[in-house]
Amino acid sequence: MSEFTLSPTSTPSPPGFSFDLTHRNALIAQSAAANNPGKLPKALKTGTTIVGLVYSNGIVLGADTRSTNDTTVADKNCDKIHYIAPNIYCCGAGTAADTEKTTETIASQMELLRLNCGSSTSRVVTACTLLKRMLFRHQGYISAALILGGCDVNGPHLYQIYPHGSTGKLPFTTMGSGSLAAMAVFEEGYRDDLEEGEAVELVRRAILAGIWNDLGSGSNVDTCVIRMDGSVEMGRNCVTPNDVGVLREKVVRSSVLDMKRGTTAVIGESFRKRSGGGVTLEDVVITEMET
Amino acid sequence: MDFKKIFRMNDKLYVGLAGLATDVQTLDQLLRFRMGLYELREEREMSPQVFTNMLSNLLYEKRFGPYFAEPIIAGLDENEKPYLATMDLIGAISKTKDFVVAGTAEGNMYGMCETLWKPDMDEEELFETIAQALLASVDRDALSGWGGVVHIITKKGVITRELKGRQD
Amino acid sequence: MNKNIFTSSSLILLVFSNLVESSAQKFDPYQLNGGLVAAVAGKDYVLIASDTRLTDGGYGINSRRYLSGRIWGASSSSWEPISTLASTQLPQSSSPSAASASWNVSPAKWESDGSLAMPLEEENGPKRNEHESRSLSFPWLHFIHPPSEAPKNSPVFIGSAGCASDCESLKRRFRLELDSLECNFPSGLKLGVQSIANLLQQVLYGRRGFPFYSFCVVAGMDNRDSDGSTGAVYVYDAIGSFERVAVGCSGTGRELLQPILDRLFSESSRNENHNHDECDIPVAAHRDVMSVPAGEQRLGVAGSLRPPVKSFVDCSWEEAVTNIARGYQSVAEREISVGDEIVICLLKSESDVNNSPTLHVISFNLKKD
Repeated sequence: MSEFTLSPTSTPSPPGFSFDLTHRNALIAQSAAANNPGKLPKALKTGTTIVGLVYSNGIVLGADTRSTNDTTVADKNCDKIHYIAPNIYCCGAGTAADTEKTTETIASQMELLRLNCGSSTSRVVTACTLLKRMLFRHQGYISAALILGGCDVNGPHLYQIYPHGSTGKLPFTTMGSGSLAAMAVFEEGYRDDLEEGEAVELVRRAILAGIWNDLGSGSNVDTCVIRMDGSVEMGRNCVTPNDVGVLREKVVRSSVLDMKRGTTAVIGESFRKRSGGGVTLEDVVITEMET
Repeated sequence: MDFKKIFRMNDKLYVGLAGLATDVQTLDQLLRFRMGLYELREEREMSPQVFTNMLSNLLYEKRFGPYFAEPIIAGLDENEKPYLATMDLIGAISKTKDFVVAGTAEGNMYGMCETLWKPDMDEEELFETIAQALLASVDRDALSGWGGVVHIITKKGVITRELKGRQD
Repeated sequence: MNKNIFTSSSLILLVFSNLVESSAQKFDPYQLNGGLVAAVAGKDYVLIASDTRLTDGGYGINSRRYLSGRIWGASSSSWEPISTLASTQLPQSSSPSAASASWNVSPAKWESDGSLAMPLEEENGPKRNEHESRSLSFPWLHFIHPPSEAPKNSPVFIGSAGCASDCESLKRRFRLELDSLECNFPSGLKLGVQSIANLLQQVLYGRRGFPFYSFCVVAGMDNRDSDGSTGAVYVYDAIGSFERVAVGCSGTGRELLQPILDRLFSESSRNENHNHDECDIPVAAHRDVMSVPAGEQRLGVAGSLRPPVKSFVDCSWEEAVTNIARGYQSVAEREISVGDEIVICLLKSESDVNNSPTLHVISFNLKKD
């Protein structure tokens, strides 16, 4: 049943994923493999370095900002630290859309839960349970590997959640393709009683290790500090070691690259003046009524 | 030939859809349908941000059987500031300040835009840049080509130019 | 209940056996180790460039200074390079702050197997960003030709990217073929760049059934023309199909670099005098990169047959080096397996100095992430 054919009185389409095109796409993929008429588009992955650690007075989360499509960089400065609740944030690795939408869904569920309970903060374990339930229900097909961190009445908590729904509660953890590089830094530098400054510095170093040594990670460092008093400090792009300008300035910009007017041959040109909103008769195709 | 890939959503919002032709047209219809409903209900135009989220949710609903189309959203927001976003076929949004590309000549376009783009261009310079990037790219892509079209969305209106391309 | 368990376990078994079957049946001996090689032919110079990142085929970096399989010499002419590249000659950046650290003229040297060795960064030695030239020598050459013999041919470079072990293997096999050819002609047969290009085609096609996964570029000076030597560049696919071009590139990220080079090196894609009112179709049609109009194409006798595209670019070598660097920077922004450093080998024919070309190796930093 198509969206167009719904009558105004019928119930809206059911919530959740729609599998309308799954069968068709399997057929397309099959014939594409046989005839190879060009590549089918692929979903964006975030080959990622994400880390999190617990320090004396809260949680520090960190992430790089590269998202890739095969071996091409699709986004040089994406955001991988997602909001769950005012006192809870979540780093995501895996398929970009999955991490984004999963955390969005859980964030809204948490918001509804807070409204129902009349509380101002959520508990991290609640978010963890909701996330793992959702991921487990989809049997790992939602490929989101998450690091969930936050502070609630029971103290700071850090969880890692795998795409299949298994979780672990840890003092420090890393995930994504750069997890080994980052974990090497953590194993070397982690202590139980880190101060905030030291913790943030350790997280930065861990992410930078991922940025330099893992091709799936790159660009800048994002951090997020969640303190026991409920304050949150987002360090968006707190380290930017890969600025385009610095290297680029060293090479003279060729004059070929400065376009003059009329460089490109144009066959036709039209101008559509802004109408200022609203539908006018000009926008409507008038057809004779069938009688 | 002359297949339409860029669709006007409203005066300052255009969406480009690259991919499977049937999905491109279906998506265009779906988007216009939902835009219309929104405008009727809210009695205002949809902002690019809202549009992006709507499209993203539309695509992610079909996570396990996606439309084969990669959209590009370009427009001016409420404050007449340029808005540029793209997403993959299952709705992972990426917003950028410089340029976005999608389609079969994606690799070529990335290379060209990365080389040609510079900040603070005026509309004519921007036109030349994007036109040259497009033409140089499709020349090296067997699946795209046969001319091109550029829309320049400005405060006053939209300039549409057809480009002369290789017809092979 | 029992039946249920049985069906599910047999389903799992089925899935598992399918997995095992598919992974066992699919024999995939190839790996892409990254690498992007490019070459530009000029009127009196030729240059070849490569990045130096070696990846493990996935997200890992095996080396940031790998060059031995990327750019290698394919010529055995006895040739003494004269390195007289003054620092002032190098294209300088427009911004004075960045200019000092712009270019490294590398103290590179040739290994005995023909590969260009990346110099180790010496801590006490000369700083690599000092504008300084070192003479390059070909130690392996002296066994074949005594250095006293007057230099006639300039070296030919082959750039190869793809599977690193295949490139390495190709290098050895190619040089073996070359040496055996030349040793059979004690009078001193020297293969020119076109012969080298043909030989490479044969070596590559010799493995038609099980190809070397290496995508090559050949660059050298073409001496056949009476009016001095011009640069010559050939690009290849993995099984030896090749073409002479003015600018060429191959390897990972070539689809990003090729249009950039097309655009940077073509004057004809700019249509200066055109305006929107009068649509001038001939000019627009001419936009196509290096194409030579049909009337100007040389056709006919074998040997004088030239491709219907220009075989060299018009710009100066300074411009060419800058353009290549700019192109690589753009690719490094978007292609994860290209980065770290680029090495550019520049071969310039100096009409005044004994007619022998000089070789300079220039390196430039790219993104390291």
